[in-house]
Amino acid sequence: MSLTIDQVRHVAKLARMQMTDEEMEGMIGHLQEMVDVFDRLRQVNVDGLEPTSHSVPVHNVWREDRVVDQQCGPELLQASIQARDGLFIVPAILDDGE
Amino acid sequence: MSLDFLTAHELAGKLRSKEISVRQLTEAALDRIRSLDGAVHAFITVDEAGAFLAADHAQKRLDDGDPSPLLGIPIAVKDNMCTRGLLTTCGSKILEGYKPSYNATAVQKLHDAGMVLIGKTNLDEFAMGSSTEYSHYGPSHNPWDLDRVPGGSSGGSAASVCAGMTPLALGSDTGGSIRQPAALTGIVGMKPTYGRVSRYGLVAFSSSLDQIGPFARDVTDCAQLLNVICGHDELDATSLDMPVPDFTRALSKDVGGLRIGVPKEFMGDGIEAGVRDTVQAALGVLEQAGASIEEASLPSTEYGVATYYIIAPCEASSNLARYDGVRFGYRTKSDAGHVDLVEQTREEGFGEEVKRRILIGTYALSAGYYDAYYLHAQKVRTKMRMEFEELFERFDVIAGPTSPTVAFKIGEFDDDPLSLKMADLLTIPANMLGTCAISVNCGFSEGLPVGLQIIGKPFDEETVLRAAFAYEHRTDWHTRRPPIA
Repeated sequence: MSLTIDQVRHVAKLARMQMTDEEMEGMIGHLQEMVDVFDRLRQVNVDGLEPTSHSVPVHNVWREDRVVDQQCGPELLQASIQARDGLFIVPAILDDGE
Repeated sequence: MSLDFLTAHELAGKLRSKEISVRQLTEAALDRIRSLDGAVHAFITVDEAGAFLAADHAQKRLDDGDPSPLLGIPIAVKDNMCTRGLLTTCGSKILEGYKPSYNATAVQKLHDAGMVLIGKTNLDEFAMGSSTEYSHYGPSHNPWDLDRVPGGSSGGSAASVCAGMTPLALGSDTGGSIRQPAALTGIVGMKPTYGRVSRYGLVAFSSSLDQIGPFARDVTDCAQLLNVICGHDELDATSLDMPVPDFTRALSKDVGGLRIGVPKEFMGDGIEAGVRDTVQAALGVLEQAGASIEEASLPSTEYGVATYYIIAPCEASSNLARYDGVRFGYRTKSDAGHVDLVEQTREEGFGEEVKRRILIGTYALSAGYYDAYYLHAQKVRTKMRMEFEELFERFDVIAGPTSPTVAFKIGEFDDDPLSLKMADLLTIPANMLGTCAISVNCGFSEGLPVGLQIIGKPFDEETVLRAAFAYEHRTDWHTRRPPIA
């Protein structure tokens, strides 16, 4: 499968990374090498095999839903570069109606 | 007397006999870091104040007669494990300045055991790499030859133990990130079975493969640290609720009747002759000790790297979606709206290798490619698992080299990231199966350490430790020290 710059641009958009054309062009060769390796893997016959999503058998793990006060609210907010009055600050996503 | 290269169990004896105090031991570790870390760069953060606090606390417990074996012993922790109030960068600009509000369970267990956390060690950004060159904070250096890499991604932890800075360290192993740096620096490194150690607070890279494990100077220390970190944790739903044995009880010198399979794919093309010969000699030692060595085959070894480099980036592309510039770490100065904030923060905050993996993972998961790549890779993983299970019907452990090569030069693969990924060829199979494996030093090639890898059945860490201990008992490679001041 041959990768095009448009595909890389589309994937970068999906991954929410605002990459420059120059950066993507510098990367496409390495990405193509990886896709070539992936394509070779498709020759492996896996007929009748179930996928392994987990290496050890795990099933649904249930526990009681209970409230625990970890008392780390202020510390959680401190981890953000911009927080005030117990809230994270982000750019406005709604205009002010003007 | 220098404390630099003593094992944790030797140091514990000195603490208990009051020959040294925990503060003296802590000061010695910090001194060593001060004098050598400019050249080695094992650490991203050294927590002097926290270490002395922990040291005083440990001393009190010791004086009160607390028998915890690793009480007062210094340890370094890979910087992808959350430490409350202490920087946790994951080797990335995007987590610059991030101080977690909680401890990873494994870190909490170190504190509970009275160990002294000295600092946080360097790694490839988000543990994505095999050389510790992809750290935003600069590469770590191999104490055996400072122009060479210590392996990766837990290269800082390996370098710390190798250079005599801390007797123990924690790393994480997704495709070999504990075992390969252990091999390249000539120390002991172990990946426990997936589910043995809680992943709570380990910054997620590839959730179905990541596992925390120990670095040590000998197998006894490795078993003692395993005792501390293993165990069920309800905060990690994939941590398994099963009894944890006392791993030190498995340390027997007797390997009579142990059946060791050596896959021919582990000793074939792509493995340096010096590595192959050294490992062959090591297997001879185990054979002389009464183990049986037989050639075996793990044909899917050659597909491991491709399978891994589909599955791990797919999981990573999903796990790393959380870095949006809002809740932790770095935030862009660009302010053209919310989407721009997220996209610019990620563009500026992630390094090149992480971006490559996010892109390739997003691509392999995107519409039209999911079945062809991700689902197909998961089926190949099943095939690898079945081959392993078949081998384990005939053998107690599988053995071979840990790394196809000795430590390579820093910058050697700058223009060829794909070839660098082949460094994981022999370690990836154990991650695919989720099983336990250890690397121990088994000699030198071109003056650089070579690792012997021993892979066990899932949850049979004890047999792996027994084989490693029996080998160590009959050789003195683990006592060799790097030519560093």
